[in-house]
Amino acid sequence: METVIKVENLLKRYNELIALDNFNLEVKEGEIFGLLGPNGSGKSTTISCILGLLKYDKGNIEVFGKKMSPYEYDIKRQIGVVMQNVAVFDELTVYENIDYFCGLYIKDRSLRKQYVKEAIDFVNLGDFEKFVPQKLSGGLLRRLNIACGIAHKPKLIFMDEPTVAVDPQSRNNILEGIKKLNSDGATIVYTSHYMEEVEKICTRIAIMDKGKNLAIGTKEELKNMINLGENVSIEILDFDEKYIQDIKKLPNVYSVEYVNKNLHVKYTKGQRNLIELLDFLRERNVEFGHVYSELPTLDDVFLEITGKELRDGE
Amino acid sequence: MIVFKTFFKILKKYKLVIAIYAGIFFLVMVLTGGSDNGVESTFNGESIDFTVINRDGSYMGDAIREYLSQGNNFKEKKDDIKSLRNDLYYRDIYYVLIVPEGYEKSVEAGKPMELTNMKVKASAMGYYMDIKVDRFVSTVNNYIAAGEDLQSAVDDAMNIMDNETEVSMMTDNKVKKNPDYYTYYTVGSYVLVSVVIGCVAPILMVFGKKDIRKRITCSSISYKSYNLQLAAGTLITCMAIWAVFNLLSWILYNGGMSAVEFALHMLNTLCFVIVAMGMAFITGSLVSNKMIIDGITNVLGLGMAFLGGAFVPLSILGDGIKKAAKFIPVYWYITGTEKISGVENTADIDIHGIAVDMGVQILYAAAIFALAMVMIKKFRVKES
Ligand SMILES: Nc1ncnc2c1ncn2[C@@H]1O[C@H](COP(=O)(O)OP(=O)(O)OP(=O)(O)O)[C@@H](O)[C@H]1O
Ligand SMILES: [Mg+2]
Repeated sequence: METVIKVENLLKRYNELIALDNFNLEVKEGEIFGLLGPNGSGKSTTISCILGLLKYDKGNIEVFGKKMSPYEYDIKRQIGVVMQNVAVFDELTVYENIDYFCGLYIKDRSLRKQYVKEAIDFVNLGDFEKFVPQKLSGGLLRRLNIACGIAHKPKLIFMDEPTVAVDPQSRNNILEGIKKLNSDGATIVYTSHYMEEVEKICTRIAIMDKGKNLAIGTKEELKNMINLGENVSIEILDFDEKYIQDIKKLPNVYSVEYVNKNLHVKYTKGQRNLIELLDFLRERNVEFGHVYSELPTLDDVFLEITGKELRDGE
Repeated sequence: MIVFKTFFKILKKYKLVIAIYAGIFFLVMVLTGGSDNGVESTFNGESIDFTVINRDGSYMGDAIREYLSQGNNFKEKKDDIKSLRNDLYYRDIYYVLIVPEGYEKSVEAGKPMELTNMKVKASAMGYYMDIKVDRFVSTVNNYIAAGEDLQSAVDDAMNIMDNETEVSMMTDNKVKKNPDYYTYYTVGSYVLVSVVIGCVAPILMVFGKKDIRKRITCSSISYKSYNLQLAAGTLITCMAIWAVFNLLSWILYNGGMSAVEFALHMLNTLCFVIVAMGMAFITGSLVSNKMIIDGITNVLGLGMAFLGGAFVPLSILGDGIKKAAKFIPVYWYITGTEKISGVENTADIDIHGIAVDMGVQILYAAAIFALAMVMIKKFRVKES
C-alpha cells in the first residue's frame, strides 16, 4: 500500500498555545482514516496544515510522496475538502454552488456537467437543485457542503466533522456515502468526536488529545493496546454485597459494582474470566439471570488513554 | 473562467440595487432642477425673476429691492404666502424676500433682524440671491456702524456694491456657462459611487468570506488566475457602469455638447469610477457583513457627494468646507467637471487644470488600493 499522507514531527503554535505537538501521522492508500479527539484537540489544525492553509513552525508534510506547499496545484487537484463549517454561496443555487466548486478543479464543461450531476445524485439533492442554501434544512445543507467538496472526484478526501448537527437519518446517509466514496477508490481522512461513527467506518484510527497523537491503529489494535478485557454484567435479584470483596480477589478483576440488580465486573486482559466468575457464584448458590459480556469500546480506550471522557457532556 | 462567470451570476442578484440607485438619481436630478432647462441658466447672465414683500414699507426695504433688481427682474406680487408658493412652484418667480415690520429700525440700531425668504428648492439661484442680500445688508450695517445715517449708508452701499457686482459677476462667469448636463455629471458622482460600491463590494465580500476563501485556497486554481478573474469581473462591472452612465448622458444631451467636451467628461468620469472602484475594493475586502457594506455605501456616497460639492455648487460653499473638500476625491471630480463643462473647442480647454483634477483622482485611487493591500494582509494574517 502506498503512503498518501506522511506527517512528521509537526509543531504548530498559535502564539502561546501549542496546537500540535510533535505530531506524526501516516495514511495509506485506500484507508478511511479516523482522527478522533475531543474539542480543541487539534484535528482541524492538522488538516489545515496538511492542506497548506496554515503555516506550521516545524516538521515535514508529504502528500502523494511530494512535499506539500500552497503552490503544489497538481497535488491539490487530487484533494477534496469538506470543512467543518458549511462554506457555500448564499447567492447561488445548489446546482450553481456545486458547479462553482467543481469548476475550480475541472475546466472541461461537459465533464463538469456530468460530475455535478453525479455529485447531486450522490448526496441525494436532486429535488433541491434550484434551491438556494437558505431554503435547505441543516442536514441538506451539510450534504450540499459535502457535494461541493467531492464533486471533482478527488483521490484523497478530508472530511472535518461532516456530521455535526445533523439528524440521525442524514448522518447515516453521510456515513454510507463516505463508505461508497472509499469503495470507489478514494482515500479518506475523517475527523470526529463521535466514537460510534469512527468505529463504524474507519479502517484505522488515531486518537489525539492536546495536539498529541496518543495512539494509532485499527480499532482492534487500539483495544488490544490497552490492558482492558471484557465488561461482564450479570442480573442478580438477591445479591449479598459481602461477596464483592471476594470477587475483587478473583484473577484479572479490575472493578466490581452492584447497581440496579446488576453485578458489573470489569476485567483486565486474561483467560477464563467469565467462567471463574460464574463458578464462584454457583459455589455460593447465588441465583442469577441474564449474563452479558462485552468487549471494551473505543470509549473505554479513549478514557484509558487520555484519562477523560471523549465528549464533553454531549 | 468559473470565478469570473460566478462573479456575474452573483452580480445579477444585485439588479435591484442598481435600479434603486438609478431611481434615486433621477429623483435627485428632478429635485435639483437638473433637467429643467431654465434653472441653471440664471448664471448664464440672464436675470432672475424675483419679488420683495416690503412689510416694513421702509426706505431700507425699497433699497434692497432696487439693489436686487440690478441685472435681475423684479415682479410685483401680493403678500400672500400661498400664492407666492404657487408662483415659485410654477417658476413665475424664483426668489421671494420678505422684509419684516420694524426692519429698518433694527438696521438703524445696528442689529438687523433676520430676513425671511422663499426660493425654488435647492436652486443655485436662490443661494446666489441670498448672498447678494447678505452682502448688501452687511455693507449698510458697516456704514451705520461707522456713524452714517441710514439714507447715506444705503446710498453709499449702493454705489460701492455696483462696482463689486461687476466683479463678482466676472468671477461667476466660469459657472455662468454651466449647461444643464452639468448637473447630470455632478449629481451623477453620487450615483457612480453608490452603484460601483453597491454592486462590487458585496460580491468581493462574498468571495472573501473566510470559509469560502479556505475552500478556494484548497483548490487547484492558482492564486494568480483566481485574483485575475476577480479583478476582471470588478473592472468590467465598473467599466459597464461607466459606459452606461456616459451613454445615457449622450442620449439625454445629444447635441448640447461638443465632441471634445464629451470626450473629456468620459475621461473625467473614468478617473472617478476608478476611485470608486478602489473604495469598493477596500470595503468588500475588509467588511464581512452586507448590512455594514450598505451603510458604508450610503455614507460614502451621500457624504462625499455633499462635502465634495456634487449637490451644491462649490462656488457657493464656505471657505472652510472648500478647504476640507479638497481631501475628498469627489471635489476633484467636480472641479474637473466644472472646467470641462461648456468647452466648445480645443482652444478653450484648461488642459493643465483638468489634468491636475484627473491626476489627483488617480492618485487617490492608487492610495486607496495601496491601503487596501496593506490592510488585507494585516487582516488575513490575524485571521488564520
Ligand atoms: N486561529 C486560531 N488562533 C488561536 N488559536 C486557535 C486557532 N484555531 C484553533 N486554535 C486553538 O487550537 C486548538 C486546536 O484547535 P482545532 O480547531 O484544531 O481543534 P479541533 O480538534 O478541530 O476541535 P473541534 O472538535 O472543536 O473542531 C484549540 O485549543 C483552539 O482553541
Ligand atoms: Mg475542528
